[in-house]
Amino acid sequence: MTEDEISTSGYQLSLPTFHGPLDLLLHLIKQNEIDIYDIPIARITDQYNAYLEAMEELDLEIAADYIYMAAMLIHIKSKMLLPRDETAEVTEDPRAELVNRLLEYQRFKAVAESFAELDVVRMGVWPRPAVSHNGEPAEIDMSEVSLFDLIDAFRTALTRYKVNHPQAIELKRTLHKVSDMMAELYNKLKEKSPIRLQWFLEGRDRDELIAIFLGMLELVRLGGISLQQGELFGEILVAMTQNPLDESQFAVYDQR
Amino acid sequence: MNELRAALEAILFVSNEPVTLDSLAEALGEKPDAVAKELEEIKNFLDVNVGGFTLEHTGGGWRLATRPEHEDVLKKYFARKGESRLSIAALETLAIVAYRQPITAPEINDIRGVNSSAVLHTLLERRLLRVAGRKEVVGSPFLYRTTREFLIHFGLNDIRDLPRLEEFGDLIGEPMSDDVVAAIGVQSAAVDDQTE
Repeated sequence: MTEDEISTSGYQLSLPTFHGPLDLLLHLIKQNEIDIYDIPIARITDQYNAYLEAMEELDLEIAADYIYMAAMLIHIKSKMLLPRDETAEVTEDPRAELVNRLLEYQRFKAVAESFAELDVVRMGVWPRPAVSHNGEPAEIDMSEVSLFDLIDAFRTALTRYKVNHPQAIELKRTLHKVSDMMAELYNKLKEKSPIRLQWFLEGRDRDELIAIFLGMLELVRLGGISLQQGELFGEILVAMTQNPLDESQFAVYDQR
Repeated sequence: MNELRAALEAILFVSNEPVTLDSLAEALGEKPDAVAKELEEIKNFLDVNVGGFTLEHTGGGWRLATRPEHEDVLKKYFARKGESRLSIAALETLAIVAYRQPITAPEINDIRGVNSSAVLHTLLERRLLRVAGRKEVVGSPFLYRTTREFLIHFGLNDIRDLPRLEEFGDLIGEPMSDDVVAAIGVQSAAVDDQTE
């Protein structure tokens, strides 16, 4: 770094990091040793804004959430300046909602701190590693396959394709229709069900994988197939359901 | 030779996920009470005689696992970094979902005062949270719940094992850590300058 660059970029200061406007407010309340049930809104608002200005001067990006809170503080401040309605039986403190939010946030912050301690300890506890017990799980668990599991499966296939085809040059564009893939998968399942998803994805290129992904979601939606996963991070199995589908209808799902 | 105990040990040895009491009782044709008693005895035996691992009751089941004190040696031997620690934002979000589930993203944002969508995505990807349907309000936002992975990760057997939220009392007035005090020193000086 040249001298010139130093003078333009200036020093880098590190500030305590806050995890949002409520965190910053709690910090200011603690710092000023204020009773949380009787917050001097004018003083806290000034300090809050001073903090935002300092952040701005340091070129830190101020998230919209912080600005929203600044507006809310000013709103509360203005409400407190209004003359009280003498006729109302119970006058509600304009600060009440903010106080409740602060107290609630503070509780969860404390829970998060205790989770953090547990996280450190529990990271050190290792279970026995996952081993495949030779092929298909004996009993198929119908527990829900999450979208993330599905995306994982496709990502694995994509990565494998990339590794196996390092410098593939695309010579012509093959268009894979969603309907073709639906038909192919459906016909495979007529021969054998369930099949392993990874086996069906083997050797497919990117476009094909996308078409299969969309086609498979359609088949699930139509209720013609079901997806099963025996164990966490386990292989995904695709199976026929009792509900037969009309294959001539698949073409409806092609876009354009 | 206690045959039931030996059979349990064999199953636990091969399982990588917590096995439930009911599934063990069913597989072995024993009463759950008898199996539970045996499991406790295996755990006691391991805790007294075996240093390298223990039997833990977590995520609604039982599994063999190492003890935290061997983390370093395991990492070194297996040349593994291990998963990264959860961020404060992630822990806050987990804490809120744990106590308020099922809960939507806007409700979480409200409590935290900041947008939590990126954090939610990370937690879903790490399988600590899951989507559990949609709330029947305008926009039908997703509802989030904690998973069995969450219980296992934090060594909880059941979500009801969490201490009551009320037990996490007022922190205000508690002494602050040194680095926070140092940081405040810098900052309050800046604030004073501006107010004068």
